[in-house]
Amino acid sequence: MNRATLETLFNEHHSRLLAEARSMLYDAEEARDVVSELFAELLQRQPCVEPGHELAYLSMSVRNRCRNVLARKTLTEKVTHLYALEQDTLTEEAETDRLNRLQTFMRSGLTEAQQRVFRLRFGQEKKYREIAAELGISEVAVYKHLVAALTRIKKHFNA
Amino acid sequence: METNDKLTTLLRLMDEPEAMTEAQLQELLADEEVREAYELMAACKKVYQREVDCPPLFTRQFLSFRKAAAIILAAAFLGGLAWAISPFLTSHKGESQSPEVSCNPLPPGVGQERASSLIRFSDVRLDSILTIVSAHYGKAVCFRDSATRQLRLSTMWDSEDSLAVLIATLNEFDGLRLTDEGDTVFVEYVAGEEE
Repeated sequence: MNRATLETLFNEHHSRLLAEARSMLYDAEEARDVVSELFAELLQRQPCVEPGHELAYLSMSVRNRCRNVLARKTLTEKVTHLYALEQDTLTEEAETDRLNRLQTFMRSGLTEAQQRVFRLRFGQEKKYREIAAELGISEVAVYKHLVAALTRIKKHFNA
Repeated sequence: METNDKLTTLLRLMDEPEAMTEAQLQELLADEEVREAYELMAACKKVYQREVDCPPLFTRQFLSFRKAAAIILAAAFLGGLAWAISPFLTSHKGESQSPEVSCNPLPPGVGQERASSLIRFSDVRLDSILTIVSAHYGKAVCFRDSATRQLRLSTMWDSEDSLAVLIATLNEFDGLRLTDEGDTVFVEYVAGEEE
C-alpha cells in the first residue's frame, strides 16, 4: 500500500474505522488515537496487502490495537467503563448478529420500567441515585429492576 | 450467596468500583455467574453505544425535537427558504467524489420546511436521520452492517407521515433496504441491487 492508496483508504474508511474503535473503547479520543496511529504506522511501513482485502486488513488492525489498549487498562478501569473482560473472538457478522438479537430482546422482552432503568444505566451511564431521582423511585427499586432485567435476558439467551 | 445477591453486589460495585481493590474485584469477577452477568451488561452497553454513533450533542439536540423544530421553523420563515426534495444518495463505497463521511455534529444539513411537520435532511448521515425519526416513531434501529450507517442522504421527512411512508421513501435509494420488524427497523445496504 503506497501513500496514494493509503490516502484513498483513509478518505473512504476513516469514519467506519473510527466507529469500530469507538464501539470497543467507548472513548472518542482514544478511538481517534488508535486510527491515527494505525495510518501513521502504515505510511511508514507501507505493507503489502492483497487488493480487495484492504478494508478487512484495516478493520482487523484497528480491533487488535483496541484490544491492546484494553489489555493495558486496570480491572477497575475496565469495570468503571463496563468494558468486556473476555476477548472477543466472534467475527464482525456474528457479533452484529448477537447484538441484534440482544437489542430485539431488550426492546420486546423487558418491561417498560426495566427498559427505562436499563437505558439510563447502560446507555447513559447514570449513577443509581441519579436514576432513582429521575424516575422518582428508590435506589433499591433501581437495583431490583436491573437484577430482574438481567435475569430475564440471561434466562432467554440460555434457554 | 444467592445469584440475585451476587448481581446486586456487582451492580453496587460498578457504581463505585474505586471502593474496591483490584484483588477484591478480581475475586468477585472470578465467580462464573458474576462474570457472566458482567459480560451481559457489557454487551447491553454495546447495544446502546452502537445506537448512538454520533456525538451526544446531536442526540441531545434532537431528543428535544419539537423544540428544535419550532426554532428552525421560525428561521425558515425569516430566511424564506426555498424547498426542494432532492433524494440523492452518496455511498462511501467506490465513489470518485470520495465524500467526507465524518460524523457531522449537526444541523448544517437539517432544516425545517414550510409545515412544522416537514423536515429537510441535506447530506446527512443515515444513522443521524434515523436517530431522529426512530425517536419519533418509538422504534429501535438496527444496522445489519456498520458501513450503512455512514451513507449520506438528502431527503424530506414529514413527521405526520406513517413510518411505512418514510421507509418506502428511503427504500427508493439505490441499494438501501429498510424493513419494519416489530419494535425494530432493520437497515441494510444491498450492493448492486437493481429494480
